[in-house]
Amino acid sequence: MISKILKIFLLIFFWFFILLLETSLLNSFNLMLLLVIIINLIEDPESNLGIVSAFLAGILIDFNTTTYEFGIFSLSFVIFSLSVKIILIKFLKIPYVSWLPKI
Amino acid sequence: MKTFNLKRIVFLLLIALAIIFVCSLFKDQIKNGMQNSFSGVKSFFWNLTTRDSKSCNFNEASYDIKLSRLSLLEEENALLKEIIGISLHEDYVFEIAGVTQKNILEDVIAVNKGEKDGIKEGMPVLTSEKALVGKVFKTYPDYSEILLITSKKSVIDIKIISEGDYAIAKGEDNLKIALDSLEKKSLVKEGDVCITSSLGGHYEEGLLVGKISSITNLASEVFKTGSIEPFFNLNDLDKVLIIKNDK
Repeated sequence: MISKILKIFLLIFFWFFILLLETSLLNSFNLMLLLVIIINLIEDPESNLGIVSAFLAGILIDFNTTTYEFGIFSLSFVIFSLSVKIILIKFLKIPYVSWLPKI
Repeated sequence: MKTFNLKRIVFLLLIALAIIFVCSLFKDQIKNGMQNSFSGVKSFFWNLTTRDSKSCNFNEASYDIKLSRLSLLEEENALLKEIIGISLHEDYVFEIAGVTQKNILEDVIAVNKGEKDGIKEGMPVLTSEKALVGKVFKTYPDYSEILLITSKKSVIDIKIISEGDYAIAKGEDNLKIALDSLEKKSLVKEGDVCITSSLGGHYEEGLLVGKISSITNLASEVFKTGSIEPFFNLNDLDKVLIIKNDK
């Protein structure tokens, strides 16, 4: 349980750093969205890393947008992540990367 | 399929909704805290991308600024001859603010000055060359968000200096501006400079908006349309001026 919480905290720091890079350095490139898609596609479909990552990335984007409704990105990222997982478990078996940490 | 049955999906969605709801209650405080804590790091990263030497576009802009000022001064002189005793030139009170970030997926930038520095929503924001950047969209205690004139939510009444015609500049996001509602009979051409008009009541007249980059004259349309290239370049933008005493 402790290692799970620690992993989530590390993940929060990771996404926060990506957010800093994206908003200050990469003005016209959506790195967060790209990473969410990649993580969800290459991780073990039984792991929760993709969903937690999608939610964290989404909520950080929500905090960094003003003209959109709050929560729209976090919810849509989570729904996207769940949909990818269901497709990968039920319909499409593709090899996954085993070295990605599992939550 | 042991991990993702319907119960688990609903449970995860409910947790996500609960966190979103709680965060939305303290959204402004969290945003201000996030911005305040990492303001230095953000400024550092932002300054890495801003160019030291100003671009060619910038030099062109300086020339156009002089041209527009000259034109405005001529108009002012003519008016002053008629109305003696009324000063038309009013000095602005500026607040210099440093740009720290551009928001994701929208043409909004954040600056390191907020309510504590007397910044209020709706204040116009300029570059040091008096080219219009946008207006203050939302203020927080320690920082503010500026809606760029290229944002989809931005609509500005403009005047084209060469012909004196009026039109509308509509933001299109991705740092682009569309020219709209230009009369069919207008003789405006590419390269003409646009300034703000006082018609809309949002901005002081005479602030530089951009240069017309293309004009389209479709028979099916009531007005001429086109595109405007803004005078500010996000890569050159490290400091902005916020006009505090605008109407």
